[in-house]
Amino acid sequence: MTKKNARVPRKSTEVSRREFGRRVAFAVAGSALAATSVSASAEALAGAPSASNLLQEQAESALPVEAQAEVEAKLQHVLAQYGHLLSDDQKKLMRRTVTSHVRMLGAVRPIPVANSDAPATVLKLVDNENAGLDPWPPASIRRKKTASPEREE
Amino acid sequence: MLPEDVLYLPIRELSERIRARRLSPVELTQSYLERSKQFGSKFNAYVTLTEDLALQQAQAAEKEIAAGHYRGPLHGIPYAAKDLLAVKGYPTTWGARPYADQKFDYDATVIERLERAGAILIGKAAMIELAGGLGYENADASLTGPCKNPWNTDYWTCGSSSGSGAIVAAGLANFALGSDTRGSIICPSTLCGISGMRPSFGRVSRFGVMAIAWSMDKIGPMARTANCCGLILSVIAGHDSKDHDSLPSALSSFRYKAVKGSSRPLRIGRLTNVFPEADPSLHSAVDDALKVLEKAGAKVSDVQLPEGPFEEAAELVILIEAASAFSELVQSGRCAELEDPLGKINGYASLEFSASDFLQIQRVRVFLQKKIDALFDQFDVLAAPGEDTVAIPLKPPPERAERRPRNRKKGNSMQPDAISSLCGLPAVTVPCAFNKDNFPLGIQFMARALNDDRVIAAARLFQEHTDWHTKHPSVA
Repeated sequence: MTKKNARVPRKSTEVSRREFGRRVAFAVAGSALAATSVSASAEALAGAPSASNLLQEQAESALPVEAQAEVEAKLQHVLAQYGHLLSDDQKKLMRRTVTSHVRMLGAVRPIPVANSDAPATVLKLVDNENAGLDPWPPASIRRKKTASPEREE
Repeated sequence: MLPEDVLYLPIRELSERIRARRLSPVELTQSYLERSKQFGSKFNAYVTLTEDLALQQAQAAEKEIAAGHYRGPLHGIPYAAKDLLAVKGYPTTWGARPYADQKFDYDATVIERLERAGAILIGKAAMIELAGGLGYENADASLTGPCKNPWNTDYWTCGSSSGSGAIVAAGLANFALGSDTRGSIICPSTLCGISGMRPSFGRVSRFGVMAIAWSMDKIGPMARTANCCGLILSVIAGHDSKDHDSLPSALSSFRYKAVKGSSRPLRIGRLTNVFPEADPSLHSAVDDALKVLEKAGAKVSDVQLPEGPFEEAAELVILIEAASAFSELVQSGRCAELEDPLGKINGYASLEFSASDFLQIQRVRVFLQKKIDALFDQFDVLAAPGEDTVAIPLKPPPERAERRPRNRKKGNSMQPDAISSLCGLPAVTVPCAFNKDNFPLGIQFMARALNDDRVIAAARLFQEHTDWHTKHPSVA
């Protein structure tokens, strides 16, 4: 890893939302076809109670203390709001899910960003199709503000 | 009913026959409809057949062509649309029980554009519920049950454009539209042995399409060949003021010219650090495919994807945006009506992300985007296996069910689809081999944003020198 690359933390072992489902399924494929060495619980694909074994495994591996505290705080907040809608099994799955989320955040938060590093979110002032053709403020407003009677003619 | 081999012809060949009035759009439509009725349920491929609309459009096409008004290569060609695309008057279920009765009184922009091009909609394709927007871990996370792979019905198509993959692979329609937020066109296209394309972000309108993650959702074609994908993209691409993220016409329009040859050799980067734990046969299939391309004049050299939390950033963007997109479903508790255990609860957890985390991810995203973009100074396209697995069984074998996931190794950390999806890059996957169990293997190409023509050119060059794309499963 070069110095430049070092600003990005090495990939951790967490499993993400979509990847979780893929790996469970792919792992089963691996058994039948020797197609992949990723191993996971086939029960998960079958929808058995231990459907979140991969997430369980994540939860089992230790998080930093601060991250554990964050998991607890987020979990308590979710349960305070929505706990009445969840079964005991779902609450367990919720813990693993929140743990997975916090782990992923841990990979992105340490990356340094400068003040000038704008986010990939955009508020568009005009339809892209017309961008650059009609400067702000729109011509109708400019005319009202600046135009003299002679100019209006 | 037309013979099966006609139903598997690529668009160009069908359109030549239609234009010359050697093939009737009505007969073609009836044949696909008949086949869809006969085999659609075998694969759980459809949510709805739009038979009345299809026959009406087919008769109109036939009449117009007979009158000398030929609209172009999609005129009279039947297709299916993933059931997250609004079609006026028909159910648009988003593949999910809470929306089973949902209808819209307008068409999605891509449906309108295909209608204007004379294409014929024969049905709404099955899909993973909410296109996996709230997560899923089971193949049967769908209103219509698990979608079965036409190459072997004990196996899954992959998702979330599951029905679209099955429909094209089984010859139930000539092409289909899918959506891809993170791999949902590339994966089912690969596992179903068809050609699938994810266009650059912003090139194809999402108006009238269910949103998962506004900053990552794309609509694209799934078809017989890369050439077909180019023809379809040229119709569905283009600016749409009703889509907030639609690119201006100068960038979004796509003029497709299937010209053989090029002024200079195609520069292909073979990605050597992706899918490190995938079956070696997947990588060797790609190596063989690249040898074909080298013989055809391409220059191939090795390259590695840069390191970075692409996977995490992609997933976090989807989680956060999906929690907002489906906030009513989540906060009302109706997500409990979803099929999948993860989908039932994931939205609650995702509501906990903070605004500062979201902005951090979006700022890092720009940094990652620049990192991957720099690779394309050296290469026209990057090549990798279409997926990191060959096939996914619907039910695990018994001996597997007793095993615990103790031996799980480190995951496939370098996932091309996470990178290209996060950064809005175009990608195409095409079949490049079959394994000993007769499952298709795929090769994917991705390119710099808006260089959609290059991924098509690479895939087309490969298909000009091979015949994997002409193979299809024995459906009956």
